[in-house]
Amino acid sequence: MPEPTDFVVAPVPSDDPEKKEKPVDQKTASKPKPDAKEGDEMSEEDLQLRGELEMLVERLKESDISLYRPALETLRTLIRTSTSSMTSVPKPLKFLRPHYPDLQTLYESWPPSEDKSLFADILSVLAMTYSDTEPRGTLRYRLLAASLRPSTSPLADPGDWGHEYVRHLASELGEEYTLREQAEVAEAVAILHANAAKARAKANVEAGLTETPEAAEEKEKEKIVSEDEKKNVPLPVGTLDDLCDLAMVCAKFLLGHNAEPDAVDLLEELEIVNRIVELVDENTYARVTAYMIACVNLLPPQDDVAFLKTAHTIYEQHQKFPEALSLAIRLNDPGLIEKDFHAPGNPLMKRQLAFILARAQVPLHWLQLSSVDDDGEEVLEDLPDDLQEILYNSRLSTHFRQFGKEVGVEEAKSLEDVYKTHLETTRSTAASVDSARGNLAGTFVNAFVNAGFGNDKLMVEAEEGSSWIYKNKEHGMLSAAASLGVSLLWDTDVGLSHVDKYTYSSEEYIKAGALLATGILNSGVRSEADAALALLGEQVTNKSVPLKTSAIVGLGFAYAGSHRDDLLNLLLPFVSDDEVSMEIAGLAALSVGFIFVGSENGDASSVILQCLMEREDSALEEKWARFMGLGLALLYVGVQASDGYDATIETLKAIPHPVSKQIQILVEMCAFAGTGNVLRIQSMLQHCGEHLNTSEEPKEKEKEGEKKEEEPRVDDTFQAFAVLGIALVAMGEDIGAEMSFRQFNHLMHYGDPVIRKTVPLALGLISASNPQLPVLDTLSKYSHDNDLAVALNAIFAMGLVGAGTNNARLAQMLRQLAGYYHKEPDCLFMVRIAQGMVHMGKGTIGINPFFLDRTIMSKTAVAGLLATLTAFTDAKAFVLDKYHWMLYFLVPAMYPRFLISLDEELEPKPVTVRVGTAVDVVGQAGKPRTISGFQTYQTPVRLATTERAELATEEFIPFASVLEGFVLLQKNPGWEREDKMDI
Amino acid sequence: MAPLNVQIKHAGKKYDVVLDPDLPPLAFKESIYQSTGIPVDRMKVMVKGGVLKDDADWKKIGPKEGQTFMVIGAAGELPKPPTEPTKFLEDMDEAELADVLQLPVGLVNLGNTCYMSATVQAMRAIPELQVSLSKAREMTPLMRSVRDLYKLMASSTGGVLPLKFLEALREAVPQFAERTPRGYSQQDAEECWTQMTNRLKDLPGYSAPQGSSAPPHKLFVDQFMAGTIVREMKSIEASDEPPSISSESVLKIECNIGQSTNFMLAGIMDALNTTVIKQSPSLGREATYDVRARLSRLPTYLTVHMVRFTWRRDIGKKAKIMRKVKFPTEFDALDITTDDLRGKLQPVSRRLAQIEGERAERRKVRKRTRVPAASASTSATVDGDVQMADAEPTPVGEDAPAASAPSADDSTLKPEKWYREQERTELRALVDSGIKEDIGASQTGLYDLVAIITHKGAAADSGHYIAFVKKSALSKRKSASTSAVASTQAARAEQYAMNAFMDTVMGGMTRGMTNALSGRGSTTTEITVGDVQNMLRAGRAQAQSESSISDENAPLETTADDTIDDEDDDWFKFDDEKVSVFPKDKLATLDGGGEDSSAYVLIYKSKSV
Repeated sequence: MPEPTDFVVAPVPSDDPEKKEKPVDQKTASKPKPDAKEGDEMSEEDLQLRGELEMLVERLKESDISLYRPALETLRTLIRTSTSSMTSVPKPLKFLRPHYPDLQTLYESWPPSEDKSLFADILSVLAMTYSDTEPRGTLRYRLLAASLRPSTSPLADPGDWGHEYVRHLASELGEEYTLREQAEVAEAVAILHANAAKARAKANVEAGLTETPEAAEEKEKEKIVSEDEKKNVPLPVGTLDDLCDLAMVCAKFLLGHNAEPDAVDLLEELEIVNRIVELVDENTYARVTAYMIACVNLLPPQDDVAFLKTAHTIYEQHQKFPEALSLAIRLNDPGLIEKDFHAPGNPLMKRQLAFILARAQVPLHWLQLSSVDDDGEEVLEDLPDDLQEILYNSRLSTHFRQFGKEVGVEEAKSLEDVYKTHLETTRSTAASVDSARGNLAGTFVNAFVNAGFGNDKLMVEAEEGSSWIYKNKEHGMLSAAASLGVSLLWDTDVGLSHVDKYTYSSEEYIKAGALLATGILNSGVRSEADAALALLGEQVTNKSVPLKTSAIVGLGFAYAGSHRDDLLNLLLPFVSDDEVSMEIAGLAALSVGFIFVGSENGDASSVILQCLMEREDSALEEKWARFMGLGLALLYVGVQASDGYDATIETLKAIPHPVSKQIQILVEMCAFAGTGNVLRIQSMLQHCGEHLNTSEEPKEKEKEGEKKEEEPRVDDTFQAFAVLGIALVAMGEDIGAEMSFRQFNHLMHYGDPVIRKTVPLALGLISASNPQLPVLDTLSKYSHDNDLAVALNAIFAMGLVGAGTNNARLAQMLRQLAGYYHKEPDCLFMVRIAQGMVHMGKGTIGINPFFLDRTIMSKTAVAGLLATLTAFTDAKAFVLDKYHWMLYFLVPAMYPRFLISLDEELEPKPVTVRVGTAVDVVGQAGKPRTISGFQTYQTPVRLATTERAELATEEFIPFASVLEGFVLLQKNPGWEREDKMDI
Repeated sequence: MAPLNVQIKHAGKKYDVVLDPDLPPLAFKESIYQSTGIPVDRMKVMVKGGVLKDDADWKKIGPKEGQTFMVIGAAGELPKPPTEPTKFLEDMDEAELADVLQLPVGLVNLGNTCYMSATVQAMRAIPELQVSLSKAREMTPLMRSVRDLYKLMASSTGGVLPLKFLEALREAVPQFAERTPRGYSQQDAEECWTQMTNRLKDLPGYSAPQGSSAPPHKLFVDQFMAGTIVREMKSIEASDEPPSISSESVLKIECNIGQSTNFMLAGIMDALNTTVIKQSPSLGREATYDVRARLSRLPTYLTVHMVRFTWRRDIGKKAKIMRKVKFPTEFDALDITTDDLRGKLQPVSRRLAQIEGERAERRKVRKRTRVPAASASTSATVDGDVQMADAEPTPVGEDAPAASAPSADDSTLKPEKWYREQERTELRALVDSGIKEDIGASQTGLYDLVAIITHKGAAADSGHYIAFVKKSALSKRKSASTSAVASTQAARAEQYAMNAFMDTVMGGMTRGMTNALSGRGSTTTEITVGDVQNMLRAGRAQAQSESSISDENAPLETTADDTIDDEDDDWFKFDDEKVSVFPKDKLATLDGGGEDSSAYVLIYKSKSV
């Protein structure tokens, strides 16, 4: 029977306020006489239970050891069997709470024994009710129970105590682990502090000072702090390993009870997430991996890679090859990719994997198994023909055109079909004469709209001699000839011969355009004959600058992402040679960046860095320097904080010229592209916050005009890249992207002109081919900005956002802009381009760099987009000047947004699919629908950026995990027609 | 080595070719040529490591049996550049730009000559005048200078210096040569208009068709610009006195602007109905007479003079009436005609008004149906329409088309030409025979506004004159360009002379003109005015010798055919040498009521049948 004083000692729990007023004296030992209040609540049954529990506690206090065991067992049974509502404390715990301190002291008095272990176990449960005053009691007694238990009897499963207990334990485990981590650090700090204190004391003594009041005060403070911290001192029992073992037990329990996220979180807290692999089974792995992958964006560096690797291992274990491969691609790990590619035995599955790899533009030599040939040299084995054909993307063109036919867009579109000038608000003065600007815009519109179909009326199908090329001037001819490449995109069979005709032209610009076209049409497609290299390789050394640059850039297009070393030897000399102009050097560096995107290639980076260090200041100030920087930065796309990245950043810091800052930002943003890394976004924002030129202006004004000229403006180009950097880092992660919109809004309000004009581009990048209404509205607003540079970029961004979507609202906005800007040739030019982009591939080709359910970022696409946007950071100097061909930098990002289902012979197989908006189902209970608002179609279908498809029937089983691009199907052997079932 | 059977791939097709490694690569290329037709010199064969070179060694390449080579190259002709390089908007200077944009030329202000520029430009809206001028044999110097000026304006693209004309005008009308110490004085444009028409009075007009009873050799101004006014004077006091009737020829009708005049017609009526006090023969004393003037002949071109300048006795000065007076763009003149003439015109004018309504209806239908169809498909639809027209032949000249024409069914709309043809025959039948024979007389009594001279400014002696001319009223540049080919040389000579003149004489007086032409300004500085005239004369002689007068028998009624789609016609604004497009809907801003340009002289053209 409890002593009345117990109540005085026991602190009043916060979760049960009624007990507070419980009068102590009224309670008698023999007859529990509840007060009026309690009497209301307590039923006969409860009273009986309480009596029983109190009796058991009494028994433990007695000296009869033999009775302990049965008493403890009964207690345990009572606690375990008690059922209670979800919201209140279980009855036995509630009744035992007053006795907890008593029991604690009792426990300490017991000698170690198995009984004591059992006692500790019970105390651990009771500690749950005391967690507000005594932290981690549950864990402490749990550990004590484990340590006291003889090795012969296995540890009792904490799951026996129920779900709530495990959760409680899990949370305490996390806390404890963090504390121990901190303690280690604190220890080191404490030693330092102690030394410092000693030194100070010594100094005091030497100075003959007694303790000053201040010092006394300090001590006081320390005392208070230490008392506070007492709670946060790690428990003295158990090792880290014990904690981990316990965590594993808890995780296992959680996994078995549909609490996969809790399990993952627990293991993450204890930094042993990789051990979850041991725990998952057939039923839980899918949900575990889904949750883990969803977490990746929110994790600090290193942990995210650990998560991906663990998820990959889980997929691997469960033979989910496409999923595993997609993670391997995301990890950018050649070894893993190769392993995954060769893992499946089913040739069809291999083909499916090849389709995924082809989409990701993975370097082919990563996939080839190496073997030692007769001469003892390592030789890469050729892949089987069928896989090679898929990996080469050879049939992309055929499939795309067939797809175009199926969705009814194979007919070529004319410029007027796109512009729809009769719907424009202003009447155009019907001039029968050709405007070079208008025709140039027409060139690009025609190219983008009819991209990949190879049947446009202006260029490919033009009658002999009346080709559109001649309706352009000089550099316009270059762009026009190059547009052939876009029109015949991916079609190496017919396209190369078609383009070849123009290489015999007498006009230098047409020749150069033909070279560029050769590169463009090979973009994303490989061939055994290696025609692009054969045709362009020899022109790289041509004396003519347009021919040379076209060949260099063409190679960049054709071999983007291929990591081919032979090209390195071909292109790097132009970067390292001090004699060549910055234009050639910059574009050569860019091409190297395209080809070795994300490779961290040491040779390439050192040569570019070398060049940056050795070039004259005047050369670095040229507008081409940014492309050299971009070339360097592209080598690090998606590598995150690796050694190579750190080394490069350090080297860049050593370059005194201000261009280094710009390049540092470029490298940083590329390395963290698509990671959503908050710290990087913050550092980018910091760059944007500087007001470089405005702060000096008042001073300058005072100084008179002469001095103003002497002080050059601070180069603020790096701010433009910082803005793009925010978008680049934030994209691919929905929440971060959404937050960045608000940051852009602020930048638009308070930023300098260079920032303001880049913000629309950043918006365009972050939602490429994803025309959400808020973005459209914002861009529409910016497109009427007073600063024409802002308006211009906003118009282009509208093109980016709507690329290949046929978005009607956007098209209407652009028509309205065409009327609004009919007297601004630059803006009108851009409106036309944007119109062309909105109808890219007649609404079948998108430029969003993310694929496979927006989980994988295509590096080549990012490279293409970044190069385009870099050209737009100084639109006047590039796109609006002679270098409008830079608009073709978009080509590597262009890919059909289709879903084509193929049968086992790789022939298109129409099946019914449901297409709807993708819904995030990670961590949701049950089997929720993954799409909403769906409609049913026959394949092939086009998919918007945020859409997802699923098979309507179970007649076929897809090999791919995500229905996107090319999907191989296999007949489901267990499937029966529904109408058969009726019989 | 033995010959190998290999494959080549070209433009998506595969061919079987035999490769003999003992022969040079050229032989292989030759055999590829046999099967594909690609010329050897433009053929690119892809082998490992690049393009197959003609001097390459097969051993190094190591072809294998059954290997596939990729061949690049196009059979057939190379794409040829077009024979004529494209000319771009951006490359053109202002003159060429004006040419392609079809802007007519302006006249350079030679110092207070805006009145003259405005008048000359407004008078260009009378194409018949230019035809008559080009046909006339005997001419006064003024006529000749007018003719030459118009010709020059048709062939040149920059601003024209009307030196010669101004000289002739000042000679013919000395009042325009009036000078103040600061140069030539301001003149009245209406005055100029009147004087010019007066001086052109002797210009022979159109000869009547053979066999008609109309008197031959009428004068142009009498035919096309002069109306006949019949004045009926009636005494109010002596009602039994027979009204005296007199008639006279007028070149303009006036629109008096009184205290309550808001509309042009009211002002005109005000001017036509007046009272006078004169000696009454029957009463033998001074009596009040009502004068009721009405037009018994309506000319094709009706000039309306807004009497905006009045002599104000109280201040002893000419003053401008700023009042806002609305003028119609379509004027029904039947209100101001004599009963007799009205009777003759009414059938045509009523029917025409009806037809105009139908045309508008059809235009709407067309606009609706045209938009979805691409412009490229027009040829196809025209064919279809013609067939339809053939299928139901309608007797021309009968009443049937009138009933069937405005059918509401969109799809069965016939080409506009067909309707026009129907309407024309119908209307022609309605025209009074007497009027038909009177060349230059209005056949309908309905008028379109074609030109306006406006005055800007508050005072009568100062301000600025601007002419506004309807686009369709100016003769098409197409016809001008044919003769322009011949006369470009002449024009150039003249232009050259003018530039020289500009540099030496005019100096800074000519504002925009110098900018426009300075690019090709002459370096010759010592040219006297006499020289200029000599040069002009030489150039002109050359022009005449080279270009026979092309539009000798220019048909009068072509305009109606050519401009079937006559809606939404813009206007040109001629502000000296500055010419710009003036939207039709802004014409209402010329009503007056402020210091800005307000209509002063309006030229209406009769609607043709």
